[in-house]
Formats: sequence, C-alpha cells, structure tokens
Amino acid sequence: MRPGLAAARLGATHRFTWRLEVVVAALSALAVVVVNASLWIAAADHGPVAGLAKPALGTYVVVAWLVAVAVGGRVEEWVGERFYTGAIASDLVRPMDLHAWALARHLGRSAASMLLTAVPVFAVMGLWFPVALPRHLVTWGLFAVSVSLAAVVGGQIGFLVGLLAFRLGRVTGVAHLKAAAVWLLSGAMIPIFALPVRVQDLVAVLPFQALAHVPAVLFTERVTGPEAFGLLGLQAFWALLLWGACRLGWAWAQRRIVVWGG
Amino acid sequence: MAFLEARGLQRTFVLRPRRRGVLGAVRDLFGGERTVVRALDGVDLEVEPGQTVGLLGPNGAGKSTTVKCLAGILEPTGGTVRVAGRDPFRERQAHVREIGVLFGQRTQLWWDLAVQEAFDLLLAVYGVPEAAGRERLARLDALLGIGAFMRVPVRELSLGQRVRCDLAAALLHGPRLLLLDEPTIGLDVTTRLRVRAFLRDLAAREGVAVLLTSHDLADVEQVCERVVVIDHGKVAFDGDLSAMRARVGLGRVVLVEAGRPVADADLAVVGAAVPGRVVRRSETAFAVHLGAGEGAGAAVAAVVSRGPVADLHVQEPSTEEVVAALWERGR
Amino acid sequence: MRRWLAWLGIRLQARLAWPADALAGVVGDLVVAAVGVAVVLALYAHVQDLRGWSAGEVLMAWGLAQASLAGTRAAFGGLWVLNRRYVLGGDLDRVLLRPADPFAQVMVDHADPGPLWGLVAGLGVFGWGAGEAGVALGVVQVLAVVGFVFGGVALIAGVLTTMASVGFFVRHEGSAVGLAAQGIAFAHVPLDALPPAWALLVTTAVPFAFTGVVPAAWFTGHAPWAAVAWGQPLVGLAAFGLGQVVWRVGLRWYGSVGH
Repeated sequence: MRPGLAAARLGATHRFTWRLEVVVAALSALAVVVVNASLWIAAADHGPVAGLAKPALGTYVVVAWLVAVAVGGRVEEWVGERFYTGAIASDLVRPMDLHAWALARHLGRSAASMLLTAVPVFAVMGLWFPVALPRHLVTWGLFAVSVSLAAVVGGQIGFLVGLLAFRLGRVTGVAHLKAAAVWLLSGAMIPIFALPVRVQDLVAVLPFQALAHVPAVLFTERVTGPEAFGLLGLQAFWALLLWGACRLGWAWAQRRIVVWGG
Repeated sequence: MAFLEARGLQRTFVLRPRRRGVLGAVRDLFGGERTVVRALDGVDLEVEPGQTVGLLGPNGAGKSTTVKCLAGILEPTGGTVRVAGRDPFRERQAHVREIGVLFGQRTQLWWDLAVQEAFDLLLAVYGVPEAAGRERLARLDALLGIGAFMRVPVRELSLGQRVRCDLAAALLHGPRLLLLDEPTIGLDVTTRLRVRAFLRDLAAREGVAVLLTSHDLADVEQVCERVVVIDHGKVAFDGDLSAMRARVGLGRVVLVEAGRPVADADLAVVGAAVPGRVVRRSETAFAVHLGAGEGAGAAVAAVVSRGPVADLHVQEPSTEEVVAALWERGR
Repeated sequence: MRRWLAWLGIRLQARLAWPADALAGVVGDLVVAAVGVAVVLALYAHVQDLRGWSAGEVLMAWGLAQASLAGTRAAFGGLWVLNRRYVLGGDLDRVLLRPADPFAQVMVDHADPGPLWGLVAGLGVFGWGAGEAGVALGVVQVLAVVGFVFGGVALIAGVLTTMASVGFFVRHEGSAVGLAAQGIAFAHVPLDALPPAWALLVTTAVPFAFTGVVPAAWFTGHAPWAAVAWGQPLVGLAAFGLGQVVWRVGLRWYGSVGH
C-alpha cells in the first residue's frame, strides 16, 4: 500500500512542481474548452443540438473535455519511454509491480489534474458560457465515482498502448491514434449524442465513452437514478476488463523482457 | 596586453531550491527562497599563446564558471575579460571563431550525424576553405587516430573515441585558444595519455594557448607548465607545479606496514635519519611525512635498514590536500 | 549563405535516414487533420450556419490555419524543443560557441520535411471547403493562399518564439510552446461565436485568428475582416519581428543570469 501511495503522490507532484507548468496545463485546457464550447453553443443558436439545449450542452462539452484531459494522462508515453530507454530494467528490479505503480501514479496525477485544472477552468467558464452545476447532492457523489472509474479506464488504455509500443518499438504513431480515438469517440470534442447514429453504435461497444461521456452525462443530470448506476456499472466493467488485459499484457511483456535481457 | 586577460572576474548566481512534497510544490508557486552563490570572487588571469595553464580546484571552486566566462557564454557580474582584445560575451560570434572548446561531459558534435558529416558541417559553419580543412583534418587524424571511425554516428562512439573527435572538432578551424573543461573525465588510461601528449604538442608546436580545468592532478602535471589554483572563487596560487608544492610544504607520505610489532626506538631512528616526521599508525604500521619536494629514497632506505617490512606505499599529496593547505595559508 | 544551405542539406539527409520517425509524423499530421474535419462535419450535421459561417467557409479557415501550423513545424520545428533541450538541457551552450546566429542554427538543426504533409492536408481541406462554399479559386486566389500561408507561418513562428523565450526568464520544464500552439484551435472559430474577451485576445495578443478566419474572410467576404485581411502577411511579419526581439533579449539574459 505504501509504495502505491508514494507513487500516487509522485504522480500528483511531478507535473506541478514548476510554477509555470500548472498555469500552462490550465490554460491549455481552457483554450480547448473555450473553442469547443463556443462552437457547440453557437450551433445551438436556433434550438437544441442533438437534444441538448444551451446550458446542458455547454456544461456537457466543458465537463467532457476536462475529465478526458484529467484522466488522459499520457500513461502510454510514460510506459513507452521506459521501454525505449531501458529504464524498464530497473523497474523490474524494484519490489513494486510496474503496472500497479503506473496505475497509482496515474490516479495521483488525475486527482491533481482535476483539482488544479478542471475545477478552476470550470469555475472560470461560467464567465462566458451558460454552464450549470448539478442540482442534486447525490449527483456529486455519482460524479466523483464516475471520474475515479474514468481515471482507471484511462490509465489502463494508456498502459496497453504503452505495451503496444514495446511490441512495435516506438510509441508516437500509436499514441496519435489513441489520442484521436479519445477525442472523437469519448465525447470530449463531440458530444456522443451529436455523432452520426452509426458512430454512436460503435461508441457503445468501445471503452472511450467511459472517459468523458459518462461523467459528463452524470454531471449534467441527463441521466439519473437506476440508469445512472447502470452507466457506472458500464465504466466499472471497462475498468475491470482493461485492468485484466493489462495484467495479461504486462505478464507477457515481463517474460519477453527477461528473455531478451532488457 | 596579454592574449588572454581577466581582471577581477566576478560571477554570482541566484539559486532557488525546490521544496519537498505536494504542499511544498504548491507553496513554491507563490514564491520560493533564494540563495546567492559567489562562484567567482575576483579572479585575475593572464595567458599568452603557446602557454599551457591548468586550472585546479575542488568541485564547486569556480573552474567551470571561469571557462564559461572565457568562452563567452556567461557574462561576468564584475571585472573584465579580454581575449585577443575582445570581450568574449559582447563580441561572442567573432570571439568564438578564435577559440576551441571541449566540455568533458558533453559533445560539441551532432548526435545523429556521422563523424565525417559533423566535421564537414563544422568546416562549413566556420568557413574553413576545403583544402585547408582537409589538410588539418589529416594532421589531426595522424595525431589522434580518428580516421578509423569517420563513418560512425557520433552517438555510437565510445567515450574515448568521442573525446578525441571532440578535440579534433575543436581545432578544425585553427583557434588560437583551446579551453578544456574536465577533458579526461571517465577516460581510460591509454586515451588519457594520448590526449595529454596531444595537448603538449599542440601548445609547443602550434603555439595554441591551452587552458584546462581538472580535479585530476596528473592531467595538470603532465600537460601544464603553469598551474592556477582556484578555491572559493579566488585564485589561491598561480605559478608552476613544483613551486606550488614547495609553497604548501606538503610532501609525500611513505606508509609502512611492517607486518611485525615496531618498537618506538626503531621509529626514533628512522625519524633521525630522514628529514621528516614519523607518525605511528598502529602496532605494526607507521607513516613518514616527508617535506615538500623531497625524494622518498632516503626514507625508504632508512626504513628497510631497520628490518624487513611487509608492505610499503608512497602516497602523493592529493589536490584537495594541497588546495586545502593553500587555502589555509591564504587566510 | 552557402553554408546554411549546406547545413540544411546535411540535416535533411540525416533525417531521411529515419523513415519510421517520418512515417509516425505523417500519421500524426493526418490524424490531426482528420479529427479537425470530423469535428466540423459533426457540428454542421446539426446546423446550416454558425454565426454566418457555413461549413465550407469554416473548413477554409481551418485549412489555412492547419497549413500555416504545418509549415511552421517544418521550418521552425526547433521552437518546440528550444526550452527543454536547449535552454534547460544546456545544449544552447554548444550553439553559442559556434560563429553563426543561434536561432537560425536551432531552426536548421530541426528542419523537418515531414509536416509538409500536414501542409498539403491543410490546403486540401481548404480547397474542399472552397468548393463547398462556392468560392472560385483562380490565379489571384491561389497567390493569396500562398501569401496567407507564408504570413501565417511567420505569425505562428513569431508567437511561438516569444513563448519559447519565456523559458529564459522563468525556468520551467513544461512547454509554453505546446500551449501556445494549441491556440491554433481558435483559428477556425468564427469570431462572432467567441466570447468578446476571447475574440479580442485571439486577434491581438495571440493573434492566431489571423491564420484562419481572418484570411478566410478575404475569400468569403465576411465583414469587417474581409476588408483588412490583405494585411495579414504584415501582421505575420510584425509578430515574427517581435519574436526575434524577445529571443535576443532572452539570449542576453541567459548569459547574464547564468546557467
């Protein structure tokens, strides 16, 4: 447990130990969110878009991106780099499972990101856009659980992409594809409701919506009650499935590394 | 005016240490602490073409800072520097044409290029005419033996090979001053000797002024006719090596492990026979502290004449000891 | 100036020795292009016009902006690594020790033909958008596009140089350049759709609007920008000049403050 907490703390502080870094991260998220919100809200000038009226639409778009960024975390690059530089050799020697370490670190980082980026940016967005807070207290609880699950899903996807990097030799190309998939299929840039119907069908069987769409939908209270728990269950399903995939992948990778000698 | 002239060189740095933990990181956002470090505190230096000068001193003494100021990439906070009449920092691009620099830990070459390509590029950048460039390269190859790996990418060179290439690279454009910052760090013995011989030759035959920093006394002993000791940002000594040793009065130490109990009487006899202090280290071991510049021969003879010994070792005073002694004197 | 060409030649040659990298870069560019277009299309599946801009017109703006960004990455790629590798990493010392302009050295060392695919993609999207919007592309228009892209490159390079130079004054591990480059996202948002404060920001302090919507207005006739859009290259040059000034001041600071 202790190494896990240490990893989480490391993940949380690593990104934010330089003054400008915090501001940069927040401004970066702010820029994208302003662009997205502007576009979608302007689109709703003459009526709701895909069933969402301006306040809900604005809130959705903002929350979706902020959560996606918080749980995105570039794990794949971190993992990929460790393989590439050979640091993986020293990781194997440490009495700490790399997969668990990566997850703990990612969770710490996501938490820090939510606190230091998502919260301030959301607060500021209220100045220019019609964003709304949840009306019921229980929504906050659901949202918190949802974001945590999203973080796990995001971390596992990243880890798998990182393992893929090990297989392919480098991470950049795959990382691009993963980022694109996240942007387009998680609701981060395009509300899932606004996607063409066939794409929506595709999205339903992919884990990406767990990263942004589900938390956003819960936050905007478009979905409540038993349906909400259903969505959380969906996230949990993906979290577990991907976690299992990562364990298998990691075991396979470990065998490969040992065989090759690092 | 001397070719290279530094007067009252000063350089201070302001450091901002980071605080630990998440809370510390957040607090750092709102202003951290500062410490002021005086890396150079009034350094005077004069070097003429063809001279070989060694800059000695412990870590953090200000050697690298001096080299950076001389190279022109760091501006002194006080004092003046002139190389061939130019201010290195203000007239950097003109100044840099006349100097070659070698940083031991870093290469001046491009990682992803082959050695030959990197040299070609440097010749182009410095505007060296092709013919002169090839000729110089051939000569450098003859002395440093780098021809064998011209086609190898720089990143695949071993440290020894890379340092030799860096040396060649630093001299391709025929500079009149060569600055070296810890050039032999991490090198194997053969390469070290080769580099030292090369530098001696360079100064003697080509009249290049060579200034090197090191905390390895051997480098300085074998290459430099002159030694400048820097400690705490000040020049503690400037002269030749033997003068330095003599000034400090630190001589070698002969460590004797007799392998049998040694009587005080024996120690007294040795002490009388040799102009040095005898200090007992244990029941069976003792040390003879010689005066500066004295040979160990008489001491060894005196020791051995008192009976068989198991082991005997002659120890040089380390740079740290010399410098520390110098600094003590200075105060 | 022959030596710069020789330098460029050697660097490009070395870069071509890494086809895997180049491929990954191309994929990345095309992915970004595809995502941008996808977002616009998804948006316009629900509306016909966005504050007076049709889908085709927005694509034109987007295409110009992307082309400009790609051009900047090709010619000024060094800006992205300037802070981390050169200022913080100490590689800048090596650059300063050579008798050639440091900025140019770093740019030439990182010149990359790869992003030119992104430039082609951007122009392609522009052309497509023009078709959708019913804008005819004659010789004059093509020349205008060339001018706008050059102006855009100068502008982006200038802004990013300023951002990169921040690293001289405030030591930071992150990439201010990466952040600023994100600003290019604003380039295709119709200015009327942005909150007024942001519209102002994006046309003055971080004038990325001049890489997308403003020059596009020249083709589409949106007032008031259509009238002044021809001045875009001047804005670009001004931004570039400012970037150079800040860079030089930063370089001076680098030597004064120490490292």
